[in-house]
Amino acid sequence: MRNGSGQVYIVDDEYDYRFLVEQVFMRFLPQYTVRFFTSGDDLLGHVLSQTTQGEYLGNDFPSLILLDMHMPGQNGLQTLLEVRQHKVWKQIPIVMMSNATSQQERDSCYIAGVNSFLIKPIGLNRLLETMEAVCKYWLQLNQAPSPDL
Amino acid sequence: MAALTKYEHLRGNFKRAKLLVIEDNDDHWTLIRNAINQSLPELMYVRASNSAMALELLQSWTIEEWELPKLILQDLYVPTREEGWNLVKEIKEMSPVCNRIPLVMFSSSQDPDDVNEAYQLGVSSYLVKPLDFSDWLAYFKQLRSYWWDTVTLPPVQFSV
Repeated sequence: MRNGSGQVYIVDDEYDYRFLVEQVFMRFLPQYTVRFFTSGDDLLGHVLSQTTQGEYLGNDFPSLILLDMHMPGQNGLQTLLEVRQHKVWKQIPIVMMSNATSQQERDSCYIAGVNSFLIKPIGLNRLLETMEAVCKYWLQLNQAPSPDL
Repeated sequence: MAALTKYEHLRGNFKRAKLLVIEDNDDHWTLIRNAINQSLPELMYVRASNSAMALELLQSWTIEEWELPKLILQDLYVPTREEGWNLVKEIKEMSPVCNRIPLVMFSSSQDPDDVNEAYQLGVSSYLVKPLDFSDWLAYFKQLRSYWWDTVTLPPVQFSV
């Protein structure tokens, strides 16, 4: 049973990784709609453009945002903090992913309000396994917020 | 009990791991307890049957941080919605070691206003309670599958 838009936003600066993730979704998880962003700024630009339109955009809100922690410019944590400042977008579940963090960095993410933190999976099988578990939880089990601009 | 996880990096999720369940309904608690025993046998779990007890427990555990739970599962109606909201607010106002713990709200209510309010207050996730027993077990297996077998939960800081 799906609720929410069934859309996942994925923010990652690495082209190769985005490509791989896109392939995984296309082939193995076609029931979910994925939209990619290349940086925190890219995502925030989108958030802002949605806001200024000032209408209820219903289905256009993602059910989940997957953020890469280590990105040049605005890193994942900074992006998270900015999104959380937004009156409506702050409700949207955000999952942070990284494979090179200290315990302190992970704690900071939780303190900053991330919904979950995951170690970034390497390799096709782990990637599929992770994406499947993440989407199953957030897009099928979890009740998504229904933001109203 | 040794952690039944294949991934090294997830072992921390199971080390001295505790689950705090805030549930005022005894019948639901029986179902929950059985489901936890079967799906998350590695965990210690503690039940708080009202918000005062929950806050007291969390306060006392803050002093000995290794006692803090890895996850909090909270019923919205404890026994009223207002108490449920207040409890979330109070937990989120506690010190970082407490307020960073993922708080999963669960309720029979599917009301979008309840769901939105929960996220506004800072819950990590909102789940609708299942209807019969077999569903509770499947439900907790899914909770395990995500929160313990996929996510890296906030580690408990030990003061050495």
